[in-house]
Amino acid sequence: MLVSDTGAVIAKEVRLAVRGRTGAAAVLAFAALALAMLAFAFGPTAGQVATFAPGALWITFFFAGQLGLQGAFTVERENAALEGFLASPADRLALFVGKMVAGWLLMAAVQVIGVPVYLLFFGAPAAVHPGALALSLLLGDIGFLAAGLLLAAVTSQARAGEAVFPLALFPTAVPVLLASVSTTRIALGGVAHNPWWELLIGYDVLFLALALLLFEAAVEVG
Amino acid sequence: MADVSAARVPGPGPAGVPATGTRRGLPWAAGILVLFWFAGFMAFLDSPAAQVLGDTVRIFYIHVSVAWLAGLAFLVNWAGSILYLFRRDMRIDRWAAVSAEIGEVFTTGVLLTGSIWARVAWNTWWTWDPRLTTALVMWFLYAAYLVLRGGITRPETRAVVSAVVGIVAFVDVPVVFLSTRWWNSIHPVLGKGGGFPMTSHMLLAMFAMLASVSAFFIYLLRIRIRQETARDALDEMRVALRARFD
Repeated sequence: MLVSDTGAVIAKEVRLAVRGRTGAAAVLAFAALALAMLAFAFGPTAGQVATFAPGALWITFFFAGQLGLQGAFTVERENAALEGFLASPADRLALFVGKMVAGWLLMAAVQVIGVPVYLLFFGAPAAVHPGALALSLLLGDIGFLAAGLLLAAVTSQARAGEAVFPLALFPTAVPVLLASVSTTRIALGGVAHNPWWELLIGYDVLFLALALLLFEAAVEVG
Repeated sequence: MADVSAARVPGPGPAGVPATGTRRGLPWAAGILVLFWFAGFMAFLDSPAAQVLGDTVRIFYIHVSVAWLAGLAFLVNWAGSILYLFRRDMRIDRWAAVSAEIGEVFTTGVLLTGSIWARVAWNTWWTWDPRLTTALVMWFLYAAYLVLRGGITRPETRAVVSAVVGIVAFVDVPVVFLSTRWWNSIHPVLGKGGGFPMTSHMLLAMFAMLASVSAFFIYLLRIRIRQETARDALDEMRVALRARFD
């Protein structure tokens, strides 16, 4: 039940993202533009990629991800789509899990394009660990999306919800920003001697648990 | 007139708002002023200057007290947020909201007093130390909480949304602390041998200030709870009146 419902939600999210005017295309264009702007602002930093790239990349991913998430539940409130979903016998968690997977697909698309292009512009550092880099990106996305979806669900109920959403999301996501930047730095051959991997995993678990616990309360009213 | 007052009886909302005005709070306010006068005397005149920090140590009495109560306020908000989701009682929501407000004000005080002290002790207004970073992130989190509350008009929706955000915010604070802790902290730690030895008069000043700030905290909490209760009662009356005329 949960699996098939989740599949349906993912299919619907992907269809919306591809067809909509403000979906995937806007997020991808924003990410590309943000990376280019960062490149203009900081100038050529070849040789210092391991120092600057993790921060520049993650700031871009966070803002792009926020752009992708902020409409995730306002769109459900239009035409009472959310009420329709809640009234149906579908598993309510399917909505969360489906949006989580769809959100990850979008962030992964941004990263699959963004990271190589960025490294191409600035010269890839000698010792890149592709596996560690992929893991760092995946774990960072999970924590960010779990916190982001929960907060998007609740802020969609406020009048100026889309303005408040980043205000709530970015401070909440500070630990995942620190840990993702540090693990990405490790993956790019930089030095970070502290247990950032453990912190990143712990944060993911914590926010997934919170989101699963609180998601029903977050969508039920309105 | 009698019809309107009858309108506040039905429903689970606020029923009896204490009719007595602010006059009942006057002895409280006077008592708190006396407490602060004593604490101020202890902190600024009676207690000795510290060996290394000199007179700058005096700001620490108020800094620590306010920091401690800001933490307590957010703890109350967190407990209230969890309890609200179970009980769905608007009184609990009011407690949570009011403590978040006071916690935010006190956190502002912590950041300001800490910054002044840091200028003298560390020769900088700000440094990205774990404690400072955590306090700042906490400030942002509850600022978002309060802005979000302001944007929702339906009381039940506002309460559920705030409860979710309140729970997330408070759980996030230890993680922020942990994640920033890997950088070495230069912030003094109280009572762990990392700070400085306190004389008995310094301890007395500390406790006097803590008592004063706690009393002030309770005073603010009572006033704000009463205001919010009255506001909700007024809203209910307004709704009942409108229903009567429609």
